[in-house]
Amino acid sequence: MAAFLNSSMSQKRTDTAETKDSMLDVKTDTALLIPNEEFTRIASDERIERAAQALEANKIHTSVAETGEEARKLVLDLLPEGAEVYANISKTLETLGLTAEIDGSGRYNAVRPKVLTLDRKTQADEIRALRARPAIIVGSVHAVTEDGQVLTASFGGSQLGAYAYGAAKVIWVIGAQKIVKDLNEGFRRIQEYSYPLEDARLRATLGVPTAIGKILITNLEAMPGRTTAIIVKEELGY
Amino acid sequence: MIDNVLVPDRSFARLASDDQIARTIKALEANNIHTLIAENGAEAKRLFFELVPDGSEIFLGASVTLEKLGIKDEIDKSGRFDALRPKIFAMNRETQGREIRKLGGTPDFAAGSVHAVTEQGQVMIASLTGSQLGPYASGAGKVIWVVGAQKLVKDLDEGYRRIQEYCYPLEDAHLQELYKLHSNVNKVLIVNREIRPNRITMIIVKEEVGY
Repeated sequence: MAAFLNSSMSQKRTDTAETKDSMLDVKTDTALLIPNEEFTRIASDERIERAAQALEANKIHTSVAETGEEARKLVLDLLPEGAEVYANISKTLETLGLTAEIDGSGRYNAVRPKVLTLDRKTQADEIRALRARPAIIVGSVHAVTEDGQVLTASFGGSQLGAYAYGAAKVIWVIGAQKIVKDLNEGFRRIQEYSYPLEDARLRATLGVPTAIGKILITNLEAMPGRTTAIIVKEELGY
Repeated sequence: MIDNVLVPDRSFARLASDDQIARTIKALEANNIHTLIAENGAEAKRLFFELVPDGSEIFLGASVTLEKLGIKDEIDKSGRFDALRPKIFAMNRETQGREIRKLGGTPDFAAGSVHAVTEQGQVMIASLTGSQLGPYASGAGKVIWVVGAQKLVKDLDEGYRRIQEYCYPLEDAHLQELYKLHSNVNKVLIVNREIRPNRITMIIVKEEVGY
């Protein structure tokens, strides 16, 4: 039986001021938030193919897009007009113009604009319900292993429920720089690359830091046809 | 995913020491997971029902722990609660998939157990379908976990090993006995930190309960 999180997960980091036992220690606050640029390298065609085949074996239907434009088209082909769609906050979707298309075109029953009209203090229950169970959720993830496992990190966890089970259909758009060797490298990617960039974004836009609050590992989709991954051969999002 | 003989590694059935429990509770509290301690199963049950007002809408994840403590029967059969699981079981999976998904997604309370809790206060939950992970991560208004003290582990590595080498073989056997189905570690949720204070409560029981 394979232990997926092997010893490197618990090796002490020596490159930060505060050494921590776990790669996932969320309290490493402001110690050193410099993104590790090794995680921007786009995977080779061969690795993309390996990951795509492994995802298919794990019942995650996978397409490979040569460009962002092609990926955008593939996503829109999967969205029937009038469908209830939740576009998760995602640099990838923004870059491809999908956020604007889903939330702003009027062609879909877009969930996010509805959520934004509700009051966080008095309508928290409605917000929670809308986010947890859209018919279709579109978003990205933080790492895909060559064994076809998918890692998604989140501050509050609102998209994780929809990804894991709550949405009837899940569509992930994934830049090919997010392909990693294994779960360990995936956790390192989140910690050393995605987290610093997301932290900087949140500080700039909302003036608050982020934290790796929750992580979902998808090893296999139990419902065939539910989840689709589109791997794009471009550096997209983080 | 796993092809060899499924023999659970019994080293994961050992109860944590009081020291380890104390360390883990401190870390959980720092991660916004409020933690109570029960000397035994009866006390855990009493603490549990102090947290859930009569009439509450509540979804239970499939849990041997809640069954053994009599919590499941009390929730599902006493009539004192708006229990979602019996409602969902009465529906047709083929024709009412959407209603099932919606009904279980955002309960006022979700309760169940978890598979590992690290000394850094991280919580790991593995699932075949993923249905309880959404309510735990964000969907439920409040979350209550009842956790036998044998589930405390050193770190995430050990937690993942616990899932693969102990929980999975036992759950596989359990599902085969109940439904002639195999289990699998399809989805795993790691909770490092809860952002909403008072949303999650964990009751650690100083007894081996569940797996």
